[in-house]
Amino acid sequence: MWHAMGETVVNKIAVIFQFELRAVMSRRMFWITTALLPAVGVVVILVGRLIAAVADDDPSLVGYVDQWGKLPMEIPAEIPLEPYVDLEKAKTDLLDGIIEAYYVVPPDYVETGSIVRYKRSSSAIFSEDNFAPAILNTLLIQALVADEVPPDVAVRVQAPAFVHTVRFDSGGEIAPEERDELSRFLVPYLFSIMLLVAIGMTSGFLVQSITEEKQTRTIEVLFSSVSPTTLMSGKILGLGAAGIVQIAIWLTAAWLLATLASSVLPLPSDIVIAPESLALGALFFILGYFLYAALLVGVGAIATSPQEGGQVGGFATFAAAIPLVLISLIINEPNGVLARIFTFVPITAPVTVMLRMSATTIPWWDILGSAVVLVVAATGATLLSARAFRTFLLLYGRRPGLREIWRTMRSAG
Amino acid sequence: MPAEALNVSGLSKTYGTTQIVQDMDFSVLRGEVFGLIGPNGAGKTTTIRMTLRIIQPDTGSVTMFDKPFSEESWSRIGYLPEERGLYKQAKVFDVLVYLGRLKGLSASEARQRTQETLELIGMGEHAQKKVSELSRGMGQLIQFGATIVHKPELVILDEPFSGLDPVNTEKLKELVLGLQKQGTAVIFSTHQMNNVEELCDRVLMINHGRAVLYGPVSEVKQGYRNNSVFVAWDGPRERVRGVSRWEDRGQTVEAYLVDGVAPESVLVDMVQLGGAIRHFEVSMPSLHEVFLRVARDGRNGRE
Repeated sequence: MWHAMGETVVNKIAVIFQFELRAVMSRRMFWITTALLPAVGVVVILVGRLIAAVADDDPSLVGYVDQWGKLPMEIPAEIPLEPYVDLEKAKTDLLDGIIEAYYVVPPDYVETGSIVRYKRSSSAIFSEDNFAPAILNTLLIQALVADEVPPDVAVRVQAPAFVHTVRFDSGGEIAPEERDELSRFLVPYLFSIMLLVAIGMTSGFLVQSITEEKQTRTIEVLFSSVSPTTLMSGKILGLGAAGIVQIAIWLTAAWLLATLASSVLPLPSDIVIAPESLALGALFFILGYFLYAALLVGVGAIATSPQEGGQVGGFATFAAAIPLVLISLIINEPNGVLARIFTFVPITAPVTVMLRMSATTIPWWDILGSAVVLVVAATGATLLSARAFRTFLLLYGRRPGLREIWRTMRSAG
Repeated sequence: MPAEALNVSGLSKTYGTTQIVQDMDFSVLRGEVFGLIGPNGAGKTTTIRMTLRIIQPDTGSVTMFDKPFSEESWSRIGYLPEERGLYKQAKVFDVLVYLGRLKGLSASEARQRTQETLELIGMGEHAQKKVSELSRGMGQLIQFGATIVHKPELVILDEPFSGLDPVNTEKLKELVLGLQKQGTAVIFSTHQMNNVEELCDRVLMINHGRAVLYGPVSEVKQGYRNNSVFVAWDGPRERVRGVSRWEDRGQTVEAYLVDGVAPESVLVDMVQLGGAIRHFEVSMPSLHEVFLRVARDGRNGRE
């Protein structure tokens, strides 16, 4: 019998899940907000390409006049530098648009360290700033040390250090797998942002869905078919899925846009994501999502209008983002007091754990403790919200006072 | 005697210090139309909600089709609440399919039953309209359709006729009687006593959260009759035995009978005394009058 009842409940959750997902995805507003972010990305890339195209029309060649007398007068063709002997010739070429700028290295350069750059008043936005000073610096360093130190030292002067990071785990041993910085940060930050976006989006969907059912009086019909917990579960899963669809679209769009933009922006190509990082990120994303969704259902049940519920939903997103506001404190001391307190406070735990993951190896008991706290809090929030759901959704057009809410939460049934 | 569709025993609910429903007992038989009547705030809706486990009772039990109430019971019940509405932006067909599926129908069953139900209630042509495009009366019929789409064995209708025009009221009555013919138990809560008298086999009257009248409609009325007869007669009234007083009621006169005197003996006397008898009617209060008397007197105790 229990098996059959369980199957019935699961089927009903699945029906509510489908209905809610379809309802949200059939809203024009959902697709407008979903398309907005990629559209902004497309616009940014198009503007970037336009600017780059405009910049491409200008010459990217840069000249220099060496009055110091130590710089080479012949430069390989692939380097966009042109040595000049004659100042007037350099000026003429600049005004004619043959070069974008020219540098003058004065005779007393060693004493003053000053060089002068000449440009047109109407230079392109993407100017030679991106490359010329670096190339010129290299040439200057080579010239400065050429006769003073051995060649290998000269090379080291130009590139004094390649930093290689070794991390210890909580036992003081060298961590078995060293990942590059980007991939180390990527997963926790990605999941943090996804969680905040999911909370933000879902709070809107959930509160709108619940207050609509309350306003249209559909809720009592639903309560004669399913329990509040079943209805809540279906809604949380369905609307969460809508949020994940939205995030998936954004991630796909971001990947496509990044590919498109790779000719304009320098992007990493070989990011390796550690499976345990992915698993922990996913775990805390799911636990955090269920905690906030359960709380938001309670808010939706008490709110009398979507606007009122939306305001409280905004606070929920802010609460989840508190660790991001205090990111420098958490990253600088990932195993410090504040970071550890936030790890065990349910509303800050998901993002805090993800941020700590990006900065250090977290002790396993912190992860386990935080996960347990989140499971307990999410279960408690679900039970309380189910009670609020059952009680306050039948109070049509009236907002209960704080005392009434407190009394209801304490009383049985 | 038909089997019980519903048995409610000792149901009570208190909010704060206010007792909303107290020790409610009643049963509803299969194929019966059962009226739940009472003044505003008497506790009818709370009783219905507790019966359906929409709110939890403080005490008492509910047995449905001889089994304790469970998740499975919901699939055998159809409920039309007093405060009603449907998703305004959804299509009529989709809403009924969704609600049917929540009652345990498969997707294909729900679609088929939705089509049949819309035809039954005469709303087939509106299947693809949005709920917001319907008139109030049409919306209520659709809501009734949503209540019966899964062919429930027990239908609970809370104030089903409120807001309906006479045409739709008659239509709804026909549909209710149609359900009864199929063996469905129907409970409806209402203030409109004429509908109760017309449709119900038995009634439960609630006042101040307690059951004050319970039984077949005819027996309830019998319990409240005045023991009088209405007559239009030209004979000598003073010679009729067993009448305590006569009161003029316009076209007729009401004769109040002494306790223990049967109306038939008065009629025999009138015939024997002579004179034209144009009207003779045993006085029987309408349910409306019983309702008013109980509500005003706050009379307690079951008849």
